Amino acid sequence: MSFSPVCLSEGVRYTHVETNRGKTDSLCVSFRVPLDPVSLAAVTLISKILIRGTMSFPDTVSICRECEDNYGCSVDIAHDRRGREISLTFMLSYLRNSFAFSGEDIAERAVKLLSEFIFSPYLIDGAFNAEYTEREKTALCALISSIKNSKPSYALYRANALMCPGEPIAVSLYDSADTVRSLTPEYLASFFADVVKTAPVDIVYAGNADVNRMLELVNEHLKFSPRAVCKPSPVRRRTPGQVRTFVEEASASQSTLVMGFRLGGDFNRKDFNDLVLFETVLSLSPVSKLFTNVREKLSLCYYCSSNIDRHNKIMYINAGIDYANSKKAQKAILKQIKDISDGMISAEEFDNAISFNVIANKAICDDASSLSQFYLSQVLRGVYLTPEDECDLFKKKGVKGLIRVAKRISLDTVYILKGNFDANNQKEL
Amino acid sequence: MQITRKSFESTDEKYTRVVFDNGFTCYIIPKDVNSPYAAIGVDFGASDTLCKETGEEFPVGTAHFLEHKMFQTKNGDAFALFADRGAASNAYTASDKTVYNFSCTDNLYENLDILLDMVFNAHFTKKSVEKEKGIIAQEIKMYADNPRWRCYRSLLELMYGKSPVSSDPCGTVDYIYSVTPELLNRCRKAAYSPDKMVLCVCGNVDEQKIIELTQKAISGVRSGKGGTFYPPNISRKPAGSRNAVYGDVSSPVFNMGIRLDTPGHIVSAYEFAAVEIIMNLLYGKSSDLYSELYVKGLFETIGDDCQTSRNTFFATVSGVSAYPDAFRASACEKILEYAEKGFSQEDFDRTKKAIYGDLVFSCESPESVCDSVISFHMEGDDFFEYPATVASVKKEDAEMLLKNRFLRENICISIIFPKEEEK
Repeated sequence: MSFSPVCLSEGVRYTHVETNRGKTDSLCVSFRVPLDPVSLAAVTLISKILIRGTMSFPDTVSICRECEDNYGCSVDIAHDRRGREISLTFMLSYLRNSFAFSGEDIAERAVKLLSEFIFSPYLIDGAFNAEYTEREKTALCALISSIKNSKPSYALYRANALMCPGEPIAVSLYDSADTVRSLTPEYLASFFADVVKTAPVDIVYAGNADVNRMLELVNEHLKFSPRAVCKPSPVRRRTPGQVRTFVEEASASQSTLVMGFRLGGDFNRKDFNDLVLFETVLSLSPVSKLFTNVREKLSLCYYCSSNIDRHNKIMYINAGIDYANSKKAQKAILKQIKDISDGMISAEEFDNAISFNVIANKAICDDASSLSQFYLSQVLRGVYLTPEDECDLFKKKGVKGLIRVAKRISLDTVYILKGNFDANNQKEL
Repeated sequence: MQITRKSFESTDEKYTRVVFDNGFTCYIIPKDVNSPYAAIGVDFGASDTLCKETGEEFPVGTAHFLEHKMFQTKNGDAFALFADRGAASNAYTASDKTVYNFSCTDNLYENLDILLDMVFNAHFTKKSVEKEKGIIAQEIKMYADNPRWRCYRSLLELMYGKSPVSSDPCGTVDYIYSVTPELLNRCRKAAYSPDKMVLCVCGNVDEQKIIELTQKAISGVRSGKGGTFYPPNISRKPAGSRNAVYGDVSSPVFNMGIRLDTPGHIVSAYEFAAVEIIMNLLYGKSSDLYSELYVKGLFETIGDDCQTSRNTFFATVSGVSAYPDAFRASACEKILEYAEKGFSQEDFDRTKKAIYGDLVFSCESPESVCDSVISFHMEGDDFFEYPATVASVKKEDAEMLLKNRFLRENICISIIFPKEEEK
């Protein structure tokens, strides 16, 4: 049985998920913003500035004390990328009123705080606080330069930059330190005001309050004006030709291998579940091909995992290896994909992949936070299926779908970050 | 067999604890979830290298290697057996314990059978032990490249000297290549005894069925006391106060530790709760210090934590800072300031309320509940009593603890500076 969000006004949707499980409620408000290097830098910086203060709670101390006093409620501001869009999401979690010591209304106080972050950020003369802005720029630039602290993350970033120049997936925060430095408190405040006023918005609630009570709270504290909804243009991608190989060096004990693949298919709706099953058989399930063969049988690595961006139709497989084994590891990884496309999928592997995804979808129903994240992801995908529907869909799937996915995969780029330093013994390799 | 049932109104939680005749303990925690979780904790961790009764030593890395190989059973690879029954299984080796777990939506009782079978009847072959060495060697290298991990290990070495407590739990690559099936079997026999193990199951479960199934699984297991393991060579006081090295980091990474244990003293849940409150008040996001130092640019990110295991008890503040030494100086000053003037009652009560909220939050997750129950059980405490313990902490007791234990000579800092700064 599918669900349907309520349209509160044009471009503003509300999804209500009632559950008695757990002890907390979760409320998300998510805006969709077009992706480009400036908007990515602005959204990232804004999410950090907003959390520093609101008009009623103008600094970190007063915000944190408000949260602590309301039984540790939390507001997180995060952003995520979906093809040509960025979603800027405010996530609120709070204890249910039944756990309050003296009958306080934890819910209303928490929703009011969430509303403050969106409608009453801390502004001075229409601009964000200059001191907060400068401080958060410094912090964000430090975060950007810290990419090299994690070799697997750095290797993925480099592989991405080398494989997809000019494509939306290559728009990276790690290249945007100069843009971050150039953004002013005035520009950022006006950018955020524009997001709140014009960006399509989804509100998703999961918890044990009934729909009327929540709509009352939403209408009182989270009222948005109507806004137009534009469909983002499709992503253009390079057609893979000859496989390109890049090797760079880093001060690390371990080398990191990244293999970048292009995928073919419509993974937002039609082939979505087939793609998920393909990835499960390849690398997610406990008996996945990469785990069983590349790690367990060949002892080539401790981790060998995949990372799929279905919007941009890209898959990366990365593994921490000894450089001397890099050719052997590449061959072993390619063999696993070839085996799937040749239909060499045992009943055990396939059944495990189905049950892995059925379990994952059933587990979503165990707490409000997972539920709200799941429903938000569904409405953003434009697919109105409940976790139970997804379970049924997986159970009906056959092996042909994932073979089809595997057949449409082609290797584009191999990137190796070669370790040249033994950190344990502090000497060069 | 002894059965105890308890319920806790404020957090809406309850459990049944069963202690079987051979000392094996089982907690059964009912919870309305689709995905139940079960874990077995073994009171033997990475730093437990010396057996008190026999004097036998198992170097650091043995417990972790054993954890990797415990999934090998006579019926096949337990990892695959779990997967066949729709369960996701995992394990981890902490300093003072090893934990094996699974979660599933169906076949709970069959999966529980596999879990119980593997911890009592693991079967190691030379071939499987050999092939594991390459995997663990890569795990060791992966951690060696993680600056935060290296910084933390170095802090432990400052606080507790060169001892199993401060060593990498995975051991060294050289040691790993010397491990044999015989060594692993000897270690398992000495450490994996029913009286040193605790099972925790949380979900929509049939209590009686779990008791019967567990009884059956442990019926063939020998009884008798298992070895008492401990980490030797812990220095009586910090081995140093500062260690700085240069590495491949963009900004300095630091970890500041405050050693809080005193010789022969067993840490109570009350003391632990008091330290948790103190750390929140001193370095939490709502503290004056946090805002003051952040605004001054004395750190980019910080997080605080407190831990106790075996004879160790310490609190840490770790993060990224361009000026880690200045951060330490300010952090130490704040301790002196609060030791002198005390905390405000309002701040103290609000912090307790927030910790209570966090504990209720954590009770939502079967995984979090089971892991906490196991950790508290191994310290001789009851996790579900902890919210009441936090509520009972008196401001005066916390202030006394701050004055007597948060001493300058027990504060250490480990730093990794960017190698560019070396030049």
